[in-house]
Parts: sequence; C-alpha cells; structure tokens
Amino acid sequence: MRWVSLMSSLAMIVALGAAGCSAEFTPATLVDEARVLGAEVLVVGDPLRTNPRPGEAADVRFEVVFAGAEQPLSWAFIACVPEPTQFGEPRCAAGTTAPSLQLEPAFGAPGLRVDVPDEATLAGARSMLVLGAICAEGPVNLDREALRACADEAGVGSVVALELRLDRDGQANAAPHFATLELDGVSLEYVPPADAAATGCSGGDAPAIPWQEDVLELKLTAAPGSRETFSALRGVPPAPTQRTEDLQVSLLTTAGSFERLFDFFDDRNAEVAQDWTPPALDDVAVDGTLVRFTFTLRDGRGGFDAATRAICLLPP
Amino acid sequence: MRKLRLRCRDVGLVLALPLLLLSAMVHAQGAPPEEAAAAAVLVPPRLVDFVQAAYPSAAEEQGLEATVVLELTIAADGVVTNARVSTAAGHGFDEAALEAARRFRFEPATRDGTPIPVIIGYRYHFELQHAEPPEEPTTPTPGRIVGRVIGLEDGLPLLEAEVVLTQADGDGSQRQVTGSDGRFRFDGLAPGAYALRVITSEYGELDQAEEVHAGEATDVVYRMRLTSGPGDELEFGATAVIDPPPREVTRRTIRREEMTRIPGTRGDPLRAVELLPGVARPPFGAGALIVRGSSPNDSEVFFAGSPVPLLYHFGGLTSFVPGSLLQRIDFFPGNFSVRYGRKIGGILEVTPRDPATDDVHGAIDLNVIDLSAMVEAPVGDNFSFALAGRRSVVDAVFNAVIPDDALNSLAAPVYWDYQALATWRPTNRDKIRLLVYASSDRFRFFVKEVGGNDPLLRGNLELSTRFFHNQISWTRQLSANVEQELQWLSGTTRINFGLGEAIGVDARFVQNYGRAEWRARLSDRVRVIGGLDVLVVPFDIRYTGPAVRQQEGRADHEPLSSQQISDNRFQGTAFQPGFYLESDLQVTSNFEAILGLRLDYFQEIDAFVFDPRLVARYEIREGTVLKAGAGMFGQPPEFQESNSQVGNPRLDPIRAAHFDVGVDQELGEGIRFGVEGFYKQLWRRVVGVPGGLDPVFTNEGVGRIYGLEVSGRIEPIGRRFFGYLSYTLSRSERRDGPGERWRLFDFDQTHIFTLSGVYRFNRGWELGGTLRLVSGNPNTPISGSIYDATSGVYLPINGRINSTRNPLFNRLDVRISKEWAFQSWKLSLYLDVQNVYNRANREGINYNFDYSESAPIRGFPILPALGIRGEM
Repeated sequence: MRWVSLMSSLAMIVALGAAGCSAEFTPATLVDEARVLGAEVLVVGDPLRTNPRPGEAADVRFEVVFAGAEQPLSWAFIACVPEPTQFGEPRCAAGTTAPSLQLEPAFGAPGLRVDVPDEATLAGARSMLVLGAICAEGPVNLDREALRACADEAGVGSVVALELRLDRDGQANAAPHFATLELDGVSLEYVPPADAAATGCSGGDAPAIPWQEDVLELKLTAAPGSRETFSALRGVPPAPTQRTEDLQVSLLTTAGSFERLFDFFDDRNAEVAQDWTPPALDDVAVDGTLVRFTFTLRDGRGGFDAATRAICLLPP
Repeated sequence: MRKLRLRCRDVGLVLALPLLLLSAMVHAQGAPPEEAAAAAVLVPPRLVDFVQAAYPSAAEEQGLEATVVLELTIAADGVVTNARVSTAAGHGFDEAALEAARRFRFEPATRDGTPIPVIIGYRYHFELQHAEPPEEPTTPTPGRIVGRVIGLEDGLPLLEAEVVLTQADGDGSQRQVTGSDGRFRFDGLAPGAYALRVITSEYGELDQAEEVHAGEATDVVYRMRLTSGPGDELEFGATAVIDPPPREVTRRTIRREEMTRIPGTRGDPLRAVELLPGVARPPFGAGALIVRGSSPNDSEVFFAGSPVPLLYHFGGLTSFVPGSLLQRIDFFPGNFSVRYGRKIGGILEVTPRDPATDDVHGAIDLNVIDLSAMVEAPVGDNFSFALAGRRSVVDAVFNAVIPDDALNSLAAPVYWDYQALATWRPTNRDKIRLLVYASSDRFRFFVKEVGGNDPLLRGNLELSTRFFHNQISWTRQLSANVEQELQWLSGTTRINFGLGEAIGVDARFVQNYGRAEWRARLSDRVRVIGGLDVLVVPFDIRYTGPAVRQQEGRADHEPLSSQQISDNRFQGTAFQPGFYLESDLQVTSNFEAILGLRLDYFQEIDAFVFDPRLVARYEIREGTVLKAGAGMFGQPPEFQESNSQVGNPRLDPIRAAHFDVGVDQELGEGIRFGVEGFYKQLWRRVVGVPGGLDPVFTNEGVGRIYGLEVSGRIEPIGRRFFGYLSYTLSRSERRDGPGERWRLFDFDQTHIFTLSGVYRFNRGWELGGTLRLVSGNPNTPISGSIYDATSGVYLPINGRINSTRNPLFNRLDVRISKEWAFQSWKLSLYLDVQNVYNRANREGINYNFDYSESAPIRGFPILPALGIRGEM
C-alpha cells in the first residue's frame, strides 16, 4: 500500500503548489498572440443542436482571438473515428476524411464540415475526432508528426483536437450563452470590430475607462436554460442519473489579467465574479488602449459559446 | 543443587539514571567531569568481600531466575553505606540481593591516592544450576571472544587493561593485556559460559559474563565509565554489544544511540534511513522508500514484525512512531532473508524497545512541527508499559504562512499518532508483548486554482488517512535450543482523498497479519528457522477519477480535464500465506552459508511463487568478511492492477533475482568500511496497455538494476564522534514491453553521496551536519502540445520517457543541541536546520497553460526547526 504514501506526497505537493510555491508565468488569461479558444459545432439543418447523429453533417468553426486586430489564418483539418482510449494523445482509428485546407493565410474563422459516417463505420464510437492545425502569420504545417501548427518559425498557431460528440441516446444538446457581462457595475456592450487596432481608441465607440491602480470586478451570468439537464451513467454499477450541466467559463483579456483562466456556473455559483487587474500604467497608450475581453462557455457536452467585448483604457 | 553467581553485566545500560544523577551533581558543583577526570587519577572501588545471597526458596521451587540491579553507595572506607534496587526482579530476589550487597566490602575508590565515596551500579544475577541430561561426547566447534576495552567518556582504547577469561565452571583461565587499540581476543573456546574480568589501573575492574557459541565470534565492547568531580563521587560501568548473526548479505542498522541525533532528520530516526547506501532520495523528501532502483511499491516497512501501510505523516513530514520508543532500525537493501516475502525491493524493519522496568520515565518534546509525550513504567515485577502520543502543531504555523489569497484553508493539516506498548514476562521463558498504535493525517483545502491549467482541479482538496493496529506477540523458549514466536496483528486502514468532483478515493482495508516462527539450534553448526506468515486484507474501495494506469514510467503532465472520469468500486480480499525455511550452516569457523526457501501463494491471482535464496559469508581474516548472495523474489501485483473490475486478474506475480557480492572491512572498533556490487533482474513487471485498453495491464515489463555501494561508518559507542559516509553508483532501467526502448526508472539516481557526522562537545553541546549530493531525478521532456478544444486545455506531447534529468541535488543540514542534566531529569534544546545554505534545488518542471514556458519547481528552502525536550 505504498501508493497511499505517494498519494499523501502528491496531495502535499499540490497544496504547496496552490500555496504559491509554483513558478510565475505570463498570465494564462492574457492574450498576447493568436490563440484558439474553442470550437462551435452546428448540426447542418438543426443549428440549435451541437451533437450530430450518425449520417448527419455538422459545421465546426474554431474561435480564434488576437492580441490586436484580426490576422489572416491558414489551417488544415481532418476528421475521423477516434481510437478508443482512456487517456493520452488522441489518435484516429478509422474513417479519416479528406483534409480541409486553407494553405495560404486568409481572414475568417477556420473550420470544416464533418460528415458523420454511418453506424458500420462508427463501430459504436460515441464521438468523432477532429484534428488539425491553425496558423497565424504564415502557412500551416502539413506534417502531422511535427506537432507544429506553422510551417515557418515566424508563424504562431496551435495544433488542435476536438471531440465531436454524437447524439447516440436521443439527448440533443444546445449551446449555452451568456446573459450579462459587467465590468465594475457597467454592462459590457461594445463588440469591437475585428480589425480594430490595439491602440488609439480614444474618442472611438469603445466605452472609455480611465486607468486606475485598483482591480475592477467582472461579473458574468449565463442565459436562462443554458444549464441543461441530461441523463448520464454514474455510480457503481453505472445507472442513469439526472444531472445538470456545469458551465465552464474561460476568461481572457488582451491587457492586464484576470484572477483565473477558468471559472464555473454550477449549483453553487449562478454568477461568475472575478477581478480584472489593469495593465501597468506604462503599458497604456497615451491615445488609449483597446482592451478586448473574450469569454467562452462550455457545457461539457459539446456546447460552446464565445463573447468578445472591449473597453478603451485611457491614462488617468 | 543450585549455584549462585554474581555477575556485573550491562551495568552501563542500567545505570542511565544514576549516571544522570551523578552528572547533575557534578555539574552543580561547577566543574565539568571531563576536566576533573583529566586532572585527577581516579581508581574505582574493588570488591574484596563478596557475600552470597540466599536464593529465595519460593523462586527456587518455581524454577525462577532473575537479575537485580542495585545502586550501592560506598563510603571512603569501603563500606556499603546505602543500597537500593534500581531494577527490581520481585519474587524475593530484591530483598535477598540487598541483604547480601549491604554486607559487601570494597577496597575504596581513590582520587590521587585519597579514598573517596562513590556510587556504583551492580547487577546481581540469580541463576539456578540446572541438572542437564548427559550428552554424548562430541567435539564441538570452538568459538571465540573478540573485543575491545574503551573509555566511555572519550571512546579511547584503554592500554594495558588486563582481561582474564575464566570458564564458568572454573576450569582454567586465560589472560590477555590490551594493546594500544584496546583489543583482546580469545580463540579456540569451547561453547559455553565464560566469566571475564577486566582490570585497569584507572578504571577499576569489571566482571562480565559471556556466552560462546560454536563457530561464532562473540563480539564485545566494554565501556569503562569514569566520571568524578569535586563531589567526590565516582561511578563506572560497562556494556556488552553483541550483534545478532547476519542472515542477509547486507544489513544496515541504525542504533538507538544515534537514531535521533542525525542532522536534517529533526530527530526522526526513520528519516535517517534515507542517508543509508542504496536508498534514493525521493523528491521533496516525500518519504517514499526507494531501494536500489526499485519502485516504492516494491519495498516494505515492518514495525514490530508486521507490515505498516504508512510510514510518514503527510508523505514525509515525520514518521508515525517516535524515536524514543525504538530499539533499532534494520535496513535490508536486497537479498533479504526468507522471513520476508511478497516484495522484490528492500525491507525496513523497525523494532520497538521494551518499556523500562526500573522506574517511571517520561519525555516531552515540543518543536515547530509537533508536540509529543511519552511515559513508561513498570507495574509489578513482570509487567511494564509505555504510552506515547503526538499531535501536530504545524497547522498553526501553516495557517500563518499560507497567504489568504492563495487558497482558503477550511481545515488546516493535522496529524496525530499514539502508541501503547506493554511487555509481560509471566515466566523466565515467556515474553508477551501487546502493541496498540494508530496514526491519522487529515487536511482539507478549498482550491481556487492549481497551476491555472486544468479546470477540473477545483473544489475541495481533501486527504485523510488513518490506521489503527492491534498486535500481540508471544515469544517462548521451548527448550534450550528451540524458541517459538507467535504474532498476530489486526487493524484497519481508511483513506479518503478527494479533489472536487474529479477525484475521489474512499478506501477501507482490514489488515490481518500473522506469523508463527520456530528457531532451533540443531547442532553447533546448524541453526534452522522455519515459519509461516499470512496476510489477509479484505478491502473495499470506491474510486472516482481517471482510469487506473501504470504507476511508474509515465509522464504526469496530462490534465485531468482531458481524461475520462469514471466511478469505480472494487472489493475483494487479498489472502497471501507464505511458508519459509532457512538454515544457517557454519561450514567452517570462518565460512557460513545460509540457505533459505520460501513459498508464497497469492489468492487474488491464484498463483504460487517459490523463492530459493542463498547467502554466504567468508571471513578472510579478522575484520575482513567477503560476502555474496543470490536469490529469487516474488511479489503480487498491486490490488488495483489485478482487480477484475479495473485491472487484469490474470496477471502473474512479478519476479526478481538479486545478486550481491561485497566485502566488509573493520578498520577499528566500531569503524567499518564496505563495498558491495549488486545486480537485479526484474521480469513479469506489470505495465499498462497503451490507452488503457483491455486487458489494461500485462506482465510484459522487464527491468535491470546494477550498481556499487560504498559505505563507511563510525559508531557512536564510546566516542564523541559518529558518522556515516555512503556512496551509491547505480543505474536502474525498465522496458515496458517487447520492442520498446529501455528507459530510466523514475527515480534513477546515478550518484548518491551522503556524509553525516555528529560531534559531542563538553557541557552537553552537540553539533552535527549532513551533506547530500545526489543526481537529479529523471523527467520526461515535453515536445509540444495539442489544444483540446473540447475541454479548453492543452494536452502535452511527451518526449522520451525519463530522458532528461534535474540538476545535481545538494543540501547541507545542521543540527545543534544543548543538554542540561538535573537531578532526576534532563532538558535539551535543539535546532535542526535543513538546507542551511538555502540551495534552490530543482525537483521538477512546471509548465504554463500551453506548455510553451517552463520553470523549475524548487525544493524546500532553508527550514529551521527549533525544539525543546524534557526527559526523566
């Protein structure tokens, strides 16, 4: 039973890490380059549903955010039936589709249409797998073994994977949505144009907020009905159990930082509240810094939503 | 017919209290004893008129024998002015011994030729002369007595001490005079009892009784204590130290005299094990026992002869049993006796001592980590007990240190343990020991964010481990040559671990362990040990979390959010009986062979293993022993690996073969040097199927471990200084399946160097240091990452398993202590500082959210622990 001792050690190490003994990195909530945040799935012919059935098709659109104005992207995707696995790197087992390619950088959201094969090809699989690469500032890398998104060193991107969950038991899933977004008690309404520059927002449409040293509180709520109930196999032996979705929130900003990258709407939290720490005054442009906030929402069953808002941060 | 003998034996041990008393008196008068001793020529008293005590008739009728320890005050005219019993024997022995001792007449002790009063300890031994059956005439293999006479205060050898050896029946005597090394040696002795008298010019005389066994060397150290001061009082004593015969190629022992004084251990003797050759350093000092490149799961810790589930609180903070209750710690890094089964790594045997039989004793210790207390006392003549307990105070410190904005601590880390130990000797041939002990660890945090990379790492982080053991053992001398030991342990272990809704463990074990063993001396050349032990552990485990997978040889960076979480419950009973037989054959006077056979059955996988083991020792010349061993070892898979619900019940036992060869060289009394080479072959290792697919686990893993250990040791007996030097050069590799590449073991450490020493100054000051230089543990580089758009986390892509290493670990620990001795108790203050120069050792690598940035995870910074201890 030596694993008991190891478990104790692990717990202590986790606790020490939580206590601040770990290293300081660039905040995970800071978007300082092109970054993939998730993927929206829309079943063709039933856009309110995120989980296609065998034989149906679904459009997959990846959400990418930038530190400033939108950049052109290149990408490559395939879809397949995944290799059954409990853990580890996702791999294709069968039914690999022809690649969906955008070899030269172009503006627009990367994505592909996935045609879910029939039952025979699925062989009982409960999901499809989408593998791909998204590259900003350069051509996409097509060498799957290289584990690099971009063909050039100058490019910035991500190798991505998406488990496209199928509706195998008649439980349609809808995407969740945000209801309200507030910063320091003021509703965040302004949606910045994709090509809006990172600086020079003074006098523009973005709500102006003078820089201050103190943190500002951000509050988010989810739209009614976003937390769906569903039946899942739980317990020993596994039995159908009614559960309500926990909605996972990601919080990102192009300047300053949030307390944490992830938060949740769940039984205890109907509202997500986090502090946003403004950037250092030296990092605020004289003519204003356009700060983009991007929030994503996941229901854990394939539902995804993203919302981007902005403010214009002015020197005091 | 009866024969009454007086022996003065083990006086040093039983004189602990009077010595303290005397020391306090000496200090109270202002002059350190060492200085006074150096300034004066002291001659201890010499018994000139011995009075034979009357043997208590009732005791004689019951066939009882006993030893009474007396404290005698001898006036300057040699008359015994006061006598009292230090260690009672009851049954009328105490009164008889007092009556006789009061009529003793001594030649008085002198200082610079002037008679002075003294207090001495005296051991009065009552022994019946048994009528022995006529024996067939044989020519027994001779044995020998080798030893050394040293001064207890300074540890220096006594020159020109006269040692007179007389056979117990009075037939003939031999005489030797020690040289500059204080050594003496009597060869060619017929087996039996002998009386030794040590006569020195300054330390007086000492009478000892020793046993000589056929073909064995009885190794003794006589420590002559001489302390005096202006108080005009003096005492002396002696201790015989006889090691049990080795049954393993390598046995490393931490003695009671040193186990709580090693720097960097905070006085915790079990932490000192990490300093021994062959023991790797776990990251963060996490308490895992990593022996000669074996997985922590492959080694076992025995406490009082039974396996224990948990050695340390909180994975390495401090051990579950206080050092004050321990007699010794034996560590067998490989090729261990067939008494031990079910493990293929190493064995750590922790032996508690018997409670005190002379008087009430107690101790209390408070430091920044915990508070502990112990009390022990005799009850009547044949029963004694000890109670001890400990409770952490680290929670108070922890709450003050942890910043509130890092996490909300709902319940601080708390641990406690207790031990109750009782020894009952209903007859001279029986000893019954009861042992009840328990340990508990608990803490709970609310984690806002751990690393920020995994959304599932949220909620309550809880850990609770408890175990409660009851044990009874009965040792009986069945005859002059046969001893029997029966032992049974029952207890429960409960483990709870939870991290939000992602991970939950609720495990209950009922541990039952029994052993029956018979030890017999068949002839002067042959000893045999036979026995059986059985482990019966019903378990019931509820587990929520990712799939159970291979424990060793995997990279642990994968976030929980990307793994499938499932609910599991596995129940069962591990029933594992084992049978063993071991013979110790003294082939010649300097060649010994130990052959052992062990048969184990593992019910959960329905498999037997048969393990033959052979150890040979050859004494090339005095003080030089060549040793070698080879053996096979078997171990069942971990319960989760062979469980039908989450593992593979068709697994086979894991197998290993150990090969050792080495040489031990004694460089002087208590100074030893050894070199050993070892090779271990592992096969049928349990490895996981990639992706966790059926059958989840297989036996396709193999391993090879080889290395060299160099050890040097200066024992503390009679010295101001003791220390260890150990160096291990090793390589431990694994292959996880046919066609796979060999890789390093998770804790492979090429170089492990430890130097530890403690020096005792005058006036109760002691200073020690431990330096460790250890190769960094291997780790697995991350070559890239994949963004999992489903969960919003990045999945690391691992490079070759364990293909890089942390830098060299180095750390210096220092311990300084000061002891004050008072009339009936002593007080010590100590400061144990780990990582004195605040070395930022790298224990691992931390990654940012997308694995594009990395930074070292540093080990513990400088960690001072101040404590105070009172002892009576």
